[in-house]
Order: sequence, then C-alpha cells, then structure tokens
Amino acid sequence: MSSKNEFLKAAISPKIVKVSVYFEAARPSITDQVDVIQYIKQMQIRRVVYAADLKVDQIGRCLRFFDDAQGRSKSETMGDLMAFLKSMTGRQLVQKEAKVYTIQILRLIKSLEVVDDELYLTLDGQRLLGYCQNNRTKFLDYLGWLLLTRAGWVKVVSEIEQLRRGMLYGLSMKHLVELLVDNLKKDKLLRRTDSWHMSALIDCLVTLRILKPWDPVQMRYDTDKERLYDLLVRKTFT
Amino acid sequence: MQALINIDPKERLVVIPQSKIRFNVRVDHPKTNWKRIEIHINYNPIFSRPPCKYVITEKNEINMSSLTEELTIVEKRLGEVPLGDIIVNVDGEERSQYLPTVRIMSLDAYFEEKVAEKLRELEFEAIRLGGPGRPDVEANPKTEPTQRVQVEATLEDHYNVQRFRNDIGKFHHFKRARQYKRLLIVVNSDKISDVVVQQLRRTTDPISLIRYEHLENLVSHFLQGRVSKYQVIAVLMARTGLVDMENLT
Repeated sequence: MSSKNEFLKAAISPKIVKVSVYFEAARPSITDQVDVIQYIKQMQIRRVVYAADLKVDQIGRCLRFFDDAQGRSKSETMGDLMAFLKSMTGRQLVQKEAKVYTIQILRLIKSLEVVDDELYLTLDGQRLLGYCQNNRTKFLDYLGWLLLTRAGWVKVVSEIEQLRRGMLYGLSMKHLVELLVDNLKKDKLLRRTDSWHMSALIDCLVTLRILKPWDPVQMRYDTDKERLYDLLVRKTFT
Repeated sequence: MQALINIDPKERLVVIPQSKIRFNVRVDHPKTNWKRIEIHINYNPIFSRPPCKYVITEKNEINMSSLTEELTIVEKRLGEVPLGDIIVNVDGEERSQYLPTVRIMSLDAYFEEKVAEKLRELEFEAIRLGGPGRPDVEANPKTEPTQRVQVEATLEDHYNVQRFRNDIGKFHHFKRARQYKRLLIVVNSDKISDVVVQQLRRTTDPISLIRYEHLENLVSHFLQGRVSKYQVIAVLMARTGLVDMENLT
C-alpha cells in the first residue's frame, strides 16, 4: 500500500462486528463458568513452567526439531538444541546463557510430556506435531490444554482472574504483571523468572485465545471463560 | 429459555467517515420448542438509519441462522458515538444489548492509530497522543519501559525535506521533556525525497524511517514466528536511517 488513496480504500473497507445469539441450554451457563474456576482451584498444580520467552509457534518448531533429532544420542540432541535455539530466537547468546535456556526449554517440553527421557517424541508429542503441521486450530487447542494442565498455566489464568476481581482501580500492565509474579512466587509456583518474562507467557495465553488482549481502557486482561471451559471440560484430549 | 448475546469486539471501533460497519449476526436456534425469533437492530439516530428487523420462523438442519447488515458512517462530526443496540425477542421474551461504540477519526488520526496498533502487535506499549503540538505516537518495548520512542506518522503521498525537518524539530523539542531516546518516522508513501534519504544516510542521531508497508511486513513476519522480538527491537531501535527489510529476511 503506497498511496494515500489506497490507504483510504482500506480504511473504509467494512469493519466486522460479530454478534452471536445463543441459548442457555446450548452453551455453558454462568454456573458452569463458575465451575471452571472451582475446577481450576482444585487442580493439583505444583509449578508454573515456561522458558526463554518462547512464542506458541516456536514451541511447535521445537517439536519439529525433536522429531528431526530422532535417532541421535541425547548429548548430540542437546548440543544441536543450543544451536537451534540461537537460530530460532535470533539472540546472540553466550554459551552459559544458551545452556540455561536449553535446560529450561527441555524442562518445559518434558513437563508437557511430549518427549520422553531419551528425548523421543511421545504419542502426545506426535499428535501435537501432526496438528502443528496440518491444523492450526487443533494445534492451538491441544497446546493450550497441555500448557494449562501440565505446565501449570491454569494457575496464571486463575491468578489473573483473581487480580481482575480484586482490583478496585486499574493497574498498569507492568504493575499487574509484577504483582502476578509476586503472587505466584508467594504460592511457591514460581522460583525465578530471570530468563523469561511473565509478559511473554501472557502473550502466549492471548495467542491461545484463553486471555483476551490487554484492554487499555479498562486496564485489565479478561479471561475467555467459554474458551477455558472448552479446553478444560468440553473438549476431550485424553 | 433465555437468550444470551455476545458481541465481538465489545470495545470501541475506530473508523473514518464513509467507513462501513458490517454486522454478522449468528443466531443459534434454541434446543427447546420455539415459534419465532425476532432480531431488531436500533441505530443511533445520528446515523439517520431506520431500525432493521429480521424474523426467523423456520428451523433448519444446522440449527442456526445467519444475518448480515451493513451500516455506512455518514456522520462527518468526529468523536465517539454509540452505535445503538440489538434486541432479541424469542416467543415474546426479550433481551437487549448495546452495540459497541465507534470512534470517528480523521484519516490522518486513523493512520496514527493504525501505526500504534502495529507497534502493539510487535510487543510495544504504544499510545496515540496526536493533536497539535504533541507527538503522534509514543511507544516503548514492553520489556524496556525506559527506551521510549517518539513516532511520527505521515500519510502524505510525498515525504519531502520540509516534512522531515518538521519531524526532527518536533523530536528535539520533546526529547528532553518526555525523555525520548529515539525518533521513528513512519511514512505511508514510497516517494521519499532524495535529500531526506541522503540526510538519513549521513545522520548519527537516533532517527530511523520505515515505510508503513514494511512495518506491516515486519508484523506479519513476527506473528508467523519468522523473526524474533529481539530482531524486531534491533530493526526498530538499534539502527539509524532508512529501515530496510531486505537485510532482515
């Protein structure tokens, strides 16, 4: 788009407002949505796992890497993972940093139970990789479910929800994220976050459509409870 | 049997005069017995548009009906206005919901808003200030709040030296007061004066210029995971002069 006229043409093109009308019987009721929050509270989550500010698609690329690495020894795979990490994130990492990131990514991937101890893809891993290559919606659904339940991200969502309800005044995004990290640390769900940022994790939740994008007017993140209900209860992944 | 209405987006829409707004209404049929579903859309009187009404009386195999309605913003006055409301009536039981508000802007302001939106997609915190005597957009990477950038967005067909000097002057004026570390100029046009290009090549000041088209490409590369956020910051924050996308991909 190079000229003002073309921009004008794009600007007046229709903006879509989606309105959906549905009935209680077909969708989760408010009681069901409250149930989701109760359900989350009862889940036994020990730790929130995340690594190296990975984006959702980069997790898919990591899986592809592990798939390509099948047949190599564990130490070879670890060495290659460091090089792959540098190329994927585009960061110039010193050896020590790269090692830390590699270990953390491995911890994340293992906590998702998509690779086994020998770094071979498990059935879950193969399924996720299949979705990653062929069906983005299913990939986002399945990865969302894995991250929520196995990497403990469901606690981040419930904590955001709790902060949203508890705040009488709007906090800036930065302060909200800091408060979130503090609360999770207090609950011993996080130890340190010096090699990744909570804001990157939240961005992943937005990409997965579990959180709605930051509302600069209301100064908050809203949870898409219906989507959460879909992922945790309605859709069957196991 | 209570109808629930979900509207997306709930927040305001940014439009310019003559923009069109299309309502895609999807009505799921109730699972229980029903005879008649009426959908009324009442527009704000300033749009001079009569209310519209749709009636659904027949079930179908997919248990769902979809309707489309289009509104053109004829209002010339700028500002924020509510669009109206939607009423759903099922067998006499009524439910209503407000439609989102629209913010009607001039084309230049709309361009500034679009630039701020693109920066937000690149994981910047960006806010449009606009108006006379103010920077167009203020932005900083989410992880580095102190690296504040002044963004000047120009929609004109030709970016000439006078415009460039004006932007530089504005940057030097605000630099200290608002603690800007850089100036990023976003131009819509590909016609950039040779003098401006030469000056950009020579400058050692933290000033860079990117075409809006390239900014859009950068966003799409970033969203597809082809460039990392560190590369984005390197492109927008570390280089001076003309930002060239060829070096990146």
